[in-house]
Amino acid sequence: MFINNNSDNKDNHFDAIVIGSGISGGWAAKELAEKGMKTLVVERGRDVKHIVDYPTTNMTPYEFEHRLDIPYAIKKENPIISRCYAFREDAMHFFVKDKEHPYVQEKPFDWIRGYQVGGKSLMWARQTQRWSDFDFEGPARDGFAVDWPIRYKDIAPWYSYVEKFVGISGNRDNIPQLPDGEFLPAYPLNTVEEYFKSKLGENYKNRTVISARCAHLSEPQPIHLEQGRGKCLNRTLCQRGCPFGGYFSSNSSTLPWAAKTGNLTMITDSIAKSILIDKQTGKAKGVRIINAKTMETREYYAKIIFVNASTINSIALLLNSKSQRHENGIGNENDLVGKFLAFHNYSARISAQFEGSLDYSTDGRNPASGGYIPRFRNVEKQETNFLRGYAAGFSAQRYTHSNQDEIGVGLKESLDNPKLGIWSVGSHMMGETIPKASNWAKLDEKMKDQFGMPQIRISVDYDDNDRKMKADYLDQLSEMFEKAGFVNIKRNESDQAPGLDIHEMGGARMGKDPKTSVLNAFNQVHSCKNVFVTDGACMTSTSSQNPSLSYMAFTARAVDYAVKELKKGNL
Amino acid sequence: MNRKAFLERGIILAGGLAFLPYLPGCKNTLDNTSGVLSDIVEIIIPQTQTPGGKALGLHHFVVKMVEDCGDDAQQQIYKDGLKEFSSLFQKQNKKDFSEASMEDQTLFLEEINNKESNLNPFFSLVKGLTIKGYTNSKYYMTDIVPYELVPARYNAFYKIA
Repeated sequence: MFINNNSDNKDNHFDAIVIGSGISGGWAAKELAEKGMKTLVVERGRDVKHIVDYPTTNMTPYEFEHRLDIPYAIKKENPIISRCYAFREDAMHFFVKDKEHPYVQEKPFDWIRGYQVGGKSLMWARQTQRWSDFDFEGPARDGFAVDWPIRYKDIAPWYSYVEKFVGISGNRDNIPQLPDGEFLPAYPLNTVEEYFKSKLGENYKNRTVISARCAHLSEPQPIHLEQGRGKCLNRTLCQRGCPFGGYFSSNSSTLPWAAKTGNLTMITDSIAKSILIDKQTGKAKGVRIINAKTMETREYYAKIIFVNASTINSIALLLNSKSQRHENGIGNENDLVGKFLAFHNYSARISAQFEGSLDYSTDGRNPASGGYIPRFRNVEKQETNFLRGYAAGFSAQRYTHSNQDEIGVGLKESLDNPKLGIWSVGSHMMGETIPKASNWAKLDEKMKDQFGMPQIRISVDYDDNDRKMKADYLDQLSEMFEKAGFVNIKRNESDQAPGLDIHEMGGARMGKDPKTSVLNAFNQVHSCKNVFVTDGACMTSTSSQNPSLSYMAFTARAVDYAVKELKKGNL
Repeated sequence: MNRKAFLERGIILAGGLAFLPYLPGCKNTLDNTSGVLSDIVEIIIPQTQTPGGKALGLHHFVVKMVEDCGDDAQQQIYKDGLKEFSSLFQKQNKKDFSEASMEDQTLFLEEINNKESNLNPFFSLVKGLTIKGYTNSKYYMTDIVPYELVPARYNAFYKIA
């Protein structure tokens, strides 16, 4: 294997290196490049250029060989990724197949990955809610994990900062546990979603449905047009990549913006093997890369390293960066890296029908996908037999039906004249889980991957709190549905493994005390000051809100801090 | 703007987009007794003023889906079912299904469709895929229930006339 240790080569020297180009890495790249830092982005997967590399984006359903179904041979070979709702014929090229990058499951864990420029920001579900002090004060109030080192006031201006650039549609709903943001016009609730909202208002004090807040340009502003992005045209084919840039992705937004500064260099098919440590100072001096195609190893040097490889891969990179000064891996003096890995409990759904409002339907498509029920359990104080709470999706729609009993002319006529059915309503649970030392990811001691790097061993499971919360969700939503007069209420309990929520968080948590946390209030590794981790790995607790907006805000805030510290000579 | 105007705008937009036609093709790992299957899909969705199963190539679609997307059990149901289907018809009518009159073919299929028999799993698989192929065909998604690639709207309170 060829190792290039030529540290005098100017091509290998940058001000900052960002590992990963997904939703947080893209933000790190944009912020660093805008602040004049010569920035290298290292991406382990292939390049995906905005528009150019969205091969299926303009295809109609009948242009897909299997009408969007996944061939059985692919399903059989890839049971894990086949369980992901978005792994279909139109977007399967953006997901990692099981065989390509194996990992060890101590307990079942569906690890859903997107190894390419843009990462999972290409296929994400685009739901973007702020967290509040009910989340940041949660661990301290309820006695789990460690206290977050920040409060809402610290991150609020950064939420505003990223929201303006990303473009978030939503209403100002004035809900304490779901702070309002910088919103473009919301996608409205439909007839039955509004009806359900009014029924919740009649029957409950603190339960409501709002328009889901999402990263779609309902009304582009000059800053979005300047990115080359246009209005969302309601295709709801987002997982294929959007030719209009109607939703936010690294590919359509942050990466091209960073490139425009002239300060961005991006290398693809380049796997970060380890962070290099300066023996004298104990600080990071660069990153060692394996070229995925040639297997060659190369080193790149910089003053600041941003780790944005996605939660579990960021953990693995820290652990694999062993040196004299950090024998146990970077930030792992306290043996905490990889521990307190958590997720969101998405294992329950509920569906029903509504026989009213038959003079209304919907027309066109809603990219926000409907309504959002903010967390209503244990908000102000502890009131149930489980800790924390859950948010829920809620949407209503009318499907068309055709009687398919006959064959022949009768069947054909029936298929040619589909009838609008009554309203179908549905909800899914998004539960907060409690981070625990017993839920972890670490490097396997024996198994290696095709690049000679240790495979990742994952052990994450539901606990009693999760099971109680799930039962409560099903009971409460059933009651809410009954009180709204919905019929044919069906509870759907899934035995899905953790991971399928695609919200894995933690493993390098933020905290005040270096003894009990890995990162400080600015996502800076306590024991290695020029390394910052700003993806899901940094999360101290999980809240019930979707996390991506927070990753973006944390990243912008951390870059601001890092560059100021660098200029002060503190890094 | 009304629905029709929106639709027209959508079609104009869609008109400029790249077009990759679906080309039916078979790996021939399954016994594609396509004469029989094309007759079956034609009886399920017959030619009227508008194209039927055969003209739309739905028999190719059924085979492709069973071959590529069917699990082991479905492939077995298809293989065994097609054999049993042909031999049962032969036994009852003293001729091959493909050589029989459309009346006899239709009577036979109506019987399977309406009564319990060993052939139910086979027939519901073929019928289901024929319907899927029909409602997902370019013809259906253009002329019957037009598929909008670019709706460019969401009306949350759409009043039904």
